[in-house]
Amino acid sequence: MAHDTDVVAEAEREAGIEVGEETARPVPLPAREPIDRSGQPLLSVQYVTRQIDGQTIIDNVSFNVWPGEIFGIMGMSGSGKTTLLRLLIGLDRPDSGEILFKGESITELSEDELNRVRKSMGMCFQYSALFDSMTVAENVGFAVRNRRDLSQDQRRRRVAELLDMVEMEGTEDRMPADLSGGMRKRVSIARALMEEPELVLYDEPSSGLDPIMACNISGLIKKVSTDTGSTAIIVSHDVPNLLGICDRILMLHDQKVQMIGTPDELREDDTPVVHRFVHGLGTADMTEHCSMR
Amino acid sequence: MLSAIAAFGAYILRGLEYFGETSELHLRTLVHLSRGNIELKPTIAQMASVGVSSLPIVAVTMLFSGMVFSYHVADQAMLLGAGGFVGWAVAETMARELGPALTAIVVAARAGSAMAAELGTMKVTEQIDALRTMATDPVQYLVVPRYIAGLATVPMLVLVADVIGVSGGYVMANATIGMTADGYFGSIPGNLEIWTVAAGVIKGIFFGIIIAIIGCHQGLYTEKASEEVGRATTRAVVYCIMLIYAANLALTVVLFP
Ligand SMILES: Nc1ncnc2c1ncn2[C@@H]1O[C@H](COP(=O)(O)OP(=O)(O)OP(=O)(O)O)[C@@H](O)[C@H]1O
Ligand SMILES: [Mg+2]
Repeated sequence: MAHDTDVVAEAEREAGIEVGEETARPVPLPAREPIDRSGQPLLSVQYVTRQIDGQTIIDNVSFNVWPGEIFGIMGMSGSGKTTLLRLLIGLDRPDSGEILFKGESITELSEDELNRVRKSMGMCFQYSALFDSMTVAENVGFAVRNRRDLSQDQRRRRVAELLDMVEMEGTEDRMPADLSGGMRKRVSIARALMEEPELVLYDEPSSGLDPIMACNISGLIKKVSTDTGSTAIIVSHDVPNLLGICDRILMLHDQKVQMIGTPDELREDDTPVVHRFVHGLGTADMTEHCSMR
Repeated sequence: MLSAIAAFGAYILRGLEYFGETSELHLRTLVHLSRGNIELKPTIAQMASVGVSSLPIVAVTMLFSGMVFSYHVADQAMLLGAGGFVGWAVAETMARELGPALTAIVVAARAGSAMAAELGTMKVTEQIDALRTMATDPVQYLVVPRYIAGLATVPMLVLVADVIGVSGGYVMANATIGMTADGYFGSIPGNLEIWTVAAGVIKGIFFGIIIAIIGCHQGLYTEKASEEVGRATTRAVVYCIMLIYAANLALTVVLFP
């Protein structure tokens, strides 16, 4: 047991270095340039409120994400993280407030205009949302299926490259139904990255994965963002990994922004809810039951 | 009393809403078609699926319907001394009514329900949302191929249905009143007008459209719960059948003035 935690801790520390014997393949984590926050934010969320069935799910939320940044969103289950991500990519519209992508408001855009904006975005869904009538390769290559500037061969190579990146090489012809939940997750990450989007939204990229793979995925997200200069917004419960790779993290609580800060600022914050969340403690009356932490 | 009126009002409103939604879906489909936004691969797949999946049931249904109809007609015709017209009578009825209507109902049950179930499942598992995030309009990628499949395949199935129905009629006429093939089929060419067959095929086009739009609409508007997929599928078949019968009446009046 102790050995397992050691392994995980080590993997976390090395952020991305895989430890398994068979699959050992270090993902070298490149050094990150500091984020320039003086220019225009890539994404600007301003006073956004969303109600569903008369219930407020997101209440007056504002934040900016700058180009190249890895931005984490955490919060308790049901706190509206998925709802927020859906708003960011225009799957859903806010009741009030505004969302700007590269300075352009996307809240009032028609579906056609949104599609233009969405070409610069990728989204990885919480439950993968793979097309179950298509093979893995068709899923990953879906976004470029009609691109004339890419030959069949180039497309196939890019799909193989992406699958390799998420450690799913050789699964091109399998159907999503034949894959485990974690494998589907990884395929969906590859699919989101197909068009090299400027902004990638990850909804729980590591849920349902073993700790080593979760750590690898985190490392991968960081590597992709650093290599391509793309921006990532990651919704996750996996606090250690989130703290490990994010430049800044937003904590949602009671439908509102509880705090936005760097991992260090979050670690040091002593607001009870932030402290409990970051250090994995239950609410006061439950803490003793999970004192293993 | 007041609550009854309110319930009736709600019913009417729901009906109008349904009409609005399906009309909008149809319009958006037509816009994509007019812009040539047609994806070949799913379209061919849908045509194969609708045609192949429905053909066996269409064949069986029409074979027995032709036999039953011919059984009644042959009997009557003999009494009236008009035995020579049995083939024509069966062919006329198949081409005008039974071919298109029965084919449409079989396709609605087989393919319309499949459309609702497939799209409903995609909706519930966020595959439709995934399409949208990849800048693909679900109407273009999912509805347009099914629409083309419906309006192209159902008329073809109607023609096949006509032939099988008439053939079934011959088997029965031969068995009951000993009608020869020459006597049965020979009465058709001189009497059955080509327009009658064409009108049945035109009905098939409209029925195909109804099946595709209603099946897809039920799928796309499925609420996010798995048990809703089953309900949407049932509703798709029920609405299709009701609308096919209503449209059949209107088309009959227009096509056979
Ligand atoms: N379509 C909907 N209809 C009704 N309520 C909804 C809908 N979508 C979300 N909600 C409600 O909004 C709240 C937030 O949901 P959301 O899925 O955004 O949470 P989350 O933070 O992503 O949770 P988790 O961490 O469990 O994924 C929940 O209380 C949920 O019940
Ligand atoms: Mg969620």
